Amino acid sequence: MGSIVEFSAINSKIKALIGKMLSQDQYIKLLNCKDYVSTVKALKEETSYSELLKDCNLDKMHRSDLENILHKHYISTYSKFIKYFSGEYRKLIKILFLRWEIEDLKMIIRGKYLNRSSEEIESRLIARSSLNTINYDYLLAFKNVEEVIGGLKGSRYYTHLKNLAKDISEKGLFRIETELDFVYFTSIRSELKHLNTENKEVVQNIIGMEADLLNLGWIYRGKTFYKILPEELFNYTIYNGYKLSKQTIRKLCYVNDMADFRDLIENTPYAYIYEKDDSTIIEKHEREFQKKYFKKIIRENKTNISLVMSYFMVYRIEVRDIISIIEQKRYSIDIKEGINYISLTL
Amino acid sequence: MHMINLVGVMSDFDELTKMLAIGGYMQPVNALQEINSSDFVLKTSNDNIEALMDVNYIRPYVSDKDYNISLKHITILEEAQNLIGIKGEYIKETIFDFDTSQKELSKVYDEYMVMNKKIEELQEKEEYLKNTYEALGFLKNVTVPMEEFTATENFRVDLYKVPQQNMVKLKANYENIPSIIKSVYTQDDFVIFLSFTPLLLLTETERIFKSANCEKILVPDHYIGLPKDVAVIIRSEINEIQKSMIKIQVELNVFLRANYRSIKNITNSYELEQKSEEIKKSAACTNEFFYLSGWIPRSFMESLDTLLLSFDERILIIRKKANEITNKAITPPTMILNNRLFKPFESMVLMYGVPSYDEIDPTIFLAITYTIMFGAMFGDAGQGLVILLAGFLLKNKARRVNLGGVLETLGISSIVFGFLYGSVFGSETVINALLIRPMENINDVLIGAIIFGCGFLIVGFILGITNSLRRKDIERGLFGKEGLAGFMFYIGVIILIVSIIYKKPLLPIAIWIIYFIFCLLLILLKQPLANIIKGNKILFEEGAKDYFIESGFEVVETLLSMFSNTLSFIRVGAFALNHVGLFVAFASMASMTKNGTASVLILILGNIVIIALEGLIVFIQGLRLQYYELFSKYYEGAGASFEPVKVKFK
Repeated sequence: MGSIVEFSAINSKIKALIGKMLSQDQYIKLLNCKDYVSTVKALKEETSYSELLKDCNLDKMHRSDLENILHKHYISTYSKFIKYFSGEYRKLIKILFLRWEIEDLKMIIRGKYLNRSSEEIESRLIARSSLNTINYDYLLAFKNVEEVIGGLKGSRYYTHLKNLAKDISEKGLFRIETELDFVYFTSIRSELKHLNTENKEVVQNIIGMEADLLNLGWIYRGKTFYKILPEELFNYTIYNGYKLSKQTIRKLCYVNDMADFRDLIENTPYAYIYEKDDSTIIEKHEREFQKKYFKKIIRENKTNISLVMSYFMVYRIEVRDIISIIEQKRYSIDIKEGINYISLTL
Repeated sequence: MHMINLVGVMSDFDELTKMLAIGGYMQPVNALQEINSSDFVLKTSNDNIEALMDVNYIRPYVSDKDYNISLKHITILEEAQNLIGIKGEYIKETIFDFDTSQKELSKVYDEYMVMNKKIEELQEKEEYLKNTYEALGFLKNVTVPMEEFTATENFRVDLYKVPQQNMVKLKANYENIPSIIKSVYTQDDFVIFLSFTPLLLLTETERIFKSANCEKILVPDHYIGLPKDVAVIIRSEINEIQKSMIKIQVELNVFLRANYRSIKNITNSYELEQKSEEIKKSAACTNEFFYLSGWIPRSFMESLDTLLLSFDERILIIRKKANEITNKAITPPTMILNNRLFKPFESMVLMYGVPSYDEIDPTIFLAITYTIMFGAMFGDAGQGLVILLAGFLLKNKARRVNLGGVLETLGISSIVFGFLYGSVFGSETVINALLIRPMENINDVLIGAIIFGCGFLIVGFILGITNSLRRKDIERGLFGKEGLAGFMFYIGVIILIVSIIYKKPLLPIAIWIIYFIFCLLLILLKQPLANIIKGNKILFEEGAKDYFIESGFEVVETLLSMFSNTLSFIRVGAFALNHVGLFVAFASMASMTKNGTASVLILILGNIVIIALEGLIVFIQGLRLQYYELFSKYYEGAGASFEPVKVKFK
């Protein structure tokens, strides 16, 4: 009963928003547009994005501006949803939001490392919103990475990064970034304790799946492109996955070639993703997999947190797909090749 | 309200805006918009020639100051002060020059940071020693001196601190790590472990540890002796550090106290700086001149003139009264001024809306009528006193000035009516009624309430007509149902009813009927009539058919609403009865108990219920009469309040 009170309003809202998402036909229409301008025009005139793009002058709009608008719309939709929640769920939504804040924080840190100007960094930040736990302007005002990390004092990130601030290099930066990703997963894990059994399981599964996919991607790339030590590979994985146990992950880190890799995950749902040894296909399959997974949750329509989480995942994929389509059009990539970059099979 | 445009040289800009912010005289308006409208006119004369030439290069003012970090520093200092509980008087000093305040800040902050850093370093060292101490606790049974196993030839001993979740990963992978790992101390989120690594494999192992975000915390090789002896040494070192930490903390406190004034001063200066930026943001400028526009209430004009005197006529000023402004897009804000007695009632008006600039502020009318109505509904000398006291407490203790003030006035009114009704804490036997006992004269009370209501409505009509005419809204003011036509109709009905009651017919019925139909016709035809008077060619703005349908219903509504609005005031009398009735119920309950204490308790409870519950209901019903029956007659509340940029010094 409690869950109905808690989730019925938000779930109806979500249902309405899902109805507004791009349909297969609309995707095909966008893919078949002949150039950048006509694609954006189609997006503006024939999809639910018309409201968002109403005041934009299409002729003058740069691709990156459009991306920014899409990202920001995502974030603002997200921020508004906080109003539907209270108590622990409010906290959970805030913590799930950390993911985007962390992306921005990485951007700030990397930008400072590369000596980019504050304006330049600012233009790439997407998650500035009422849910922020850090003060963007304050961080942007610093001159280098060390100061930025010092400026994080008092936030949840500081204890994790304090130790890493001593070594600011290309490699050190990598450590900082992975550590930040860990902050996200650790925070969710500690919040999980406060949820009831049903929702705990839901969040655990969704986040676990995300962790599984990230782990697989990391190990795959570490193996094929960067030849990273197995021990190191393992240390950078995220634990508490959904279908992959710690032992499987460890075995995956120590495999000799891709055939073994595939053998190990053969019986998991992820086998489909790594069917072919081609990173573009893998990425496409990964998106498709996620979309299918979350669409299933949405169809099940349970009165718990799953619908909200799934919507934001699916919406995220849609944003990525649109950006990808627009990029393809901008650089005149053929539709046959372009289809490989979005979560859609014709 | 005056629209003020100021032009001056850039060098005076900072000082002027700061002085304006201190005075809190002005609500800025976007200057570029003003310049584009025709209200910002500089006379062509030799004095103004440069400013005039410069207008061609005009652009919005853009701030180049970045004080995000400074503000954070100030917060840090303030927090440090709060932490040790320094509180002092308000200081009204500020530094006008931004550079000086910046320098002052960095001076204080740097000094603070030096000490703070010392404390932090000591804290870190303390933690480090504590960790070592814990690790030695693990080795306490080892009888080999420290130097022997830290200086082994082929092995290296290290102590690492690692986050809990990474320890899990290390554990899962023990067999692949070329080192012996023994965790020696576990806290909530981290683990400390000792590692024994063959020197040959040191680089590889370190890489693995690094990837798990392990922090190397100690190489205890400068200690000599048995581990348990070393532990004692470390314990004393920890004590040492704690002592020096306290010493520095004391120094820091002294420093913060000594610099109380200057920290406050800096805080104020930055506050001022931000407020002046707020004014500047709306300004326009060229390389040499600035152009500033804003609203200033008439009462502040003199202060503005004295302020400008200090600039030796370097600043040009153009002033226009609110009604002279040609740009209709901007509406002048309203500054509400009321004396102390009526001020608390402002909040009740503002809940409905801010009066527009040319509207009469309804506060006084509301305050008087509301107070009378409340008293009439809740007339009780004793309970009124309770409300008065509650208001007094709220005002002075809980700092709820508005609510407290309103309750005080209502309490007094309730006391006065209590004497008129002869009621003290519900009991009607203690004092004699000066005017009337509601329960014994039910009809008189109800009719009296309606008569009062008619009076209020008539005043409401007059106010409404004045408002409309002030706004030159002929349609509403003369022919509307809240206007003169409606008013005439209402008065007519009242006179007719009175004459019927007293059986002294003033006019024949036929004339009355003609009169009423005439008034209703005026209301029906208000738009075309207004357009004829104004000389407009179009009679109906949205087509005659639509107009008559809408207007026809309006006439019906007029009849209904006048009837219901008047009858609505019956509740004033009804609640006066209700008040007595409620108490009668409690009193009979008390007498039924036949037990002294119990009946006293019931009476007390009854009084509490009456004050809390009926008080609230009466409060709301009174407000309803104001908002619905009276405000709809005369008040629109579509204005914006005057919000000057003003510094609040800390």
